[in-house]
Amino acid sequence: VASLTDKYCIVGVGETAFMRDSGRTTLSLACEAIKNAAADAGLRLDDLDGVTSYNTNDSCVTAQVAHALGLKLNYGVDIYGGAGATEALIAQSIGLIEQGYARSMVLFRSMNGRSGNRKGGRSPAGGGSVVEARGRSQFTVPAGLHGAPCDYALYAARYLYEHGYDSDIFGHVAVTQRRHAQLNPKALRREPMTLEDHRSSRWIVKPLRLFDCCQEVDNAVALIIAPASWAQDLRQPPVYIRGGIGRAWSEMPDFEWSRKEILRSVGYRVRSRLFGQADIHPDDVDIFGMYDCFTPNPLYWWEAMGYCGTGEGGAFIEKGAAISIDGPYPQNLSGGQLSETYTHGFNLVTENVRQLRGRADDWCPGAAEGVHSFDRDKGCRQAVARRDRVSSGSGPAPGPRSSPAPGPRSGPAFPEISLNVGTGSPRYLSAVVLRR
Amino acid sequence: MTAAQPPAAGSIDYGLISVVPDPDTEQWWAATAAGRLLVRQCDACGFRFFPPSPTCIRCRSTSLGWFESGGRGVVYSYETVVQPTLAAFAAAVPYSTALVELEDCANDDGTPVRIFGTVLGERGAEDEIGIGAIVEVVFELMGPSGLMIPRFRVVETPAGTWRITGHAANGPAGTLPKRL
Repeated sequence: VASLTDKYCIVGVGETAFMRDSGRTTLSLACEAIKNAAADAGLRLDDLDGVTSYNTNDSCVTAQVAHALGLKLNYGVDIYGGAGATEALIAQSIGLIEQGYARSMVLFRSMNGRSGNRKGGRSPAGGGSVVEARGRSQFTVPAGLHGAPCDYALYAARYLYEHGYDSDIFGHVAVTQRRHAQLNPKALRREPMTLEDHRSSRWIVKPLRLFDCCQEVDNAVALIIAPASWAQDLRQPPVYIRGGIGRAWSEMPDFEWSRKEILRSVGYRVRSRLFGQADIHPDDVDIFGMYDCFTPNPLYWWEAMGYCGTGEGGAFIEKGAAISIDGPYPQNLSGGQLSETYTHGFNLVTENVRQLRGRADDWCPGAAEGVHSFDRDKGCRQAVARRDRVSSGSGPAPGPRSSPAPGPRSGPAFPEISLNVGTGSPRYLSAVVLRR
Repeated sequence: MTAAQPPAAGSIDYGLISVVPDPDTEQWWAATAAGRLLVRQCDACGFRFFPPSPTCIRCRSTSLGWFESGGRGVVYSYETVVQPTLAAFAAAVPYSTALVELEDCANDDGTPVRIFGTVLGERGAEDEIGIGAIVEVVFELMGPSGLMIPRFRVVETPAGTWRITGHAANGPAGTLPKRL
């Protein structure tokens, strides 16, 4: 067990509303999310002396946040990056606090992903202007590859070809996560979705359709990491950081297209280190955050983490039953980036923090105090511990509670352990294991 | 913004793409302008790779030469872009881009050399292109830049060539993303 396992906690999470057109700066959004995370934790802003963030040249930086919020930072560094950065910054943060660089760390991601710099199309103006192709782009942009769907459609086509599935396996991911989003009052997309809706949604880049793509959203998300010793004095049940990966890279990470097998995730190489460092068995994990920029991608991570064999991801999800909230491997309970919001993966982590607390912010009136009905038809999004779930697809059955750990006074226990796998592409991977 | 004329239907407006060669790649672009498709070949260990890098990505030697490929290969993966994100391709949709494994460039350890190119043919050549199809390179002038870009033409579709299938009807061609 690594020496820092369980020494640090995520003590606060917060976000802005999820919007199509915020009409605000990324700085304004970041400040709101950080204030919300501090309030959630029960910390004063003056208690915060470390801030870090990631961006793709589309956001404010920590110095601006420190200026706007009047923080006196001992540590403020921004990194370039998208998918997997949340988990990587969590890893960096516990090391920074351990070594005394800061007493606590705020992580944020702020983006006007819809009204500002768009993932798919650069600027709000879309096309019309000359695009410069430098570096690797010299060999991709003139070949018509531009924007995330172009990258991920190549993986998706290869996956369907190699393993003989049809694209309904992608639809099951979309439909299942949409059901989760319907249990999430803050999710952007809650209208019902059927497999037929997925099949008939328009093509973006074949074989990816509109409902295979995550959203483009204006929003900010933040979380706060502090020593476990602080947690007992704070507002929320502590969520401990057990360990993680951040970031591991495959061979040829700058042009993965000449790898022998482009779908071979680096996760195969690093998963034993992840589970060993976190000192858990893969079956100990109650809930999962599987990076879902596009519907096929979680299938790759299930395989890479060893929950099923290579090429078995499409069957593993059991038409969505296995990855639904009451299945054996609940995936992206907020609705994820497909249906809740898009933050380069940050919201998949904050969701699992709330789930581990037993405070999923669902439609239950007592959610903030951890009072949940576990009735999905009444909008309850709180997951239960894996041992208290019955077989995939059916509802939660009140089972004997084998642990006196925090949870409702009767009925099933809250989840204990979460795993987030953060990555867009098989060429890299970050992860974090949390526990309550 | 350029004052370029609207491109003809089905064509790529290369005037809206500015490729910027750098010291690692300028010889490669010079070769394509002469109709030659090069990949890097290490003088020390013989490893072939693409795109060009300043060091051999196997043995790290900086003594690098070039291998001239015949430009024939097998489609390893492909896609058909229906919704363009670049104005240069707005009139070209649907178009297909292929990831092509060059048949004469494979390394002794099995590491392939692959390269991207758009596929010649109407409406993305969707009835021809597929994983497993045999293609060959065709060089096309990139508008006013004078650079030549490799594209691919399908020359053979062996039995078992795999194509994307689906249920949905395509949206109208040539539309850029609409903003909500």
